[in-house]
Amino acid sequence: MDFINFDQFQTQAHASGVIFFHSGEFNSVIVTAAAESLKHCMDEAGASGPARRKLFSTFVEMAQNIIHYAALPPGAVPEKVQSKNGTIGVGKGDSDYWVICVNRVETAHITRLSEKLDALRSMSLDDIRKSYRVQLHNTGHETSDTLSKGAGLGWLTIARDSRQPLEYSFSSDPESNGKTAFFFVKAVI
Amino acid sequence: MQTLRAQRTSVTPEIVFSRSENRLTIDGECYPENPLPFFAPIVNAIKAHLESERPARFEAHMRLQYVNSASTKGLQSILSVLNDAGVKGTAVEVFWSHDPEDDAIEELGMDLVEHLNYVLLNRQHIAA
Repeated sequence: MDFINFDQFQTQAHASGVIFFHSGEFNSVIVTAAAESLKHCMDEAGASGPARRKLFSTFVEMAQNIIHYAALPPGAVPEKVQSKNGTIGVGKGDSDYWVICVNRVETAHITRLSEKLDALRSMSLDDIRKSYRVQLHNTGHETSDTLSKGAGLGWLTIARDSRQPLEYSFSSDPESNGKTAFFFVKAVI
Repeated sequence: MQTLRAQRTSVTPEIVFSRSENRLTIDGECYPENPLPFFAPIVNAIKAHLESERPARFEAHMRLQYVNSASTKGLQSILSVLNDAGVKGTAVEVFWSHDPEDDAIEELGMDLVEHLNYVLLNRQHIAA
């Protein structure tokens, strides 16, 4: 890439409304720093009030999804991996904002993930809120046990803040011999 | 009686638990990737105190600007422990402050105490 190509790349990102973009490693240190950076980007883009809160929340949930669930790239040695890989972009459209997240997932998990997202896509906002409340109380009162399980609220939280059903898609990851695929998901705020 | 304190970080709120005043204050943003190590010591300390002291009253002041989904279970654990003390006779009051524009935090407070009959939730707006 030369300067001209790089400038085209930048110009295109700007024209597409991109206000924040991170592609590469995701770990807690990077997500913390990226979250701080996103706050400044949102301020510059004029995102305020509920939209700002929803964008921030959607970013954090998606970034933490990458850390917890992203599949490793082909050939990675699990013992040596300290970060997961993925891409998150946040952008501004004419009358809304969007957050798009891409990461590898195990091909074996595609059906389960699709079912989960299809169920959310078919729900009204009211249904999503109800499910959220049910899931929030979906554990006993045993303290340590309650905490060690995942809250199971991540996708409900993202779906609740999206003004249209979550869009998603999978694409093949040829290097992986069918073991992993790329998962794309988009929320509109 | 010592006070348990946790300094505010980028991803965890300030926590002050005063045993002598029977008062818990949580103030800030809460979105650690793994909330268990953050919440477990606090939940255990409050639980141990309430079970051994059985105070007549207990106040929690919660002023959260943002909570990730994983941390909701930690807050739920704290409130469950307070509710258990309520069942045994402690008058538990939770002051839940939120930004007037932030209906997510407002709803979270109401949702968290939905089945906790011995916790009195007072909702307040955070002054701008």
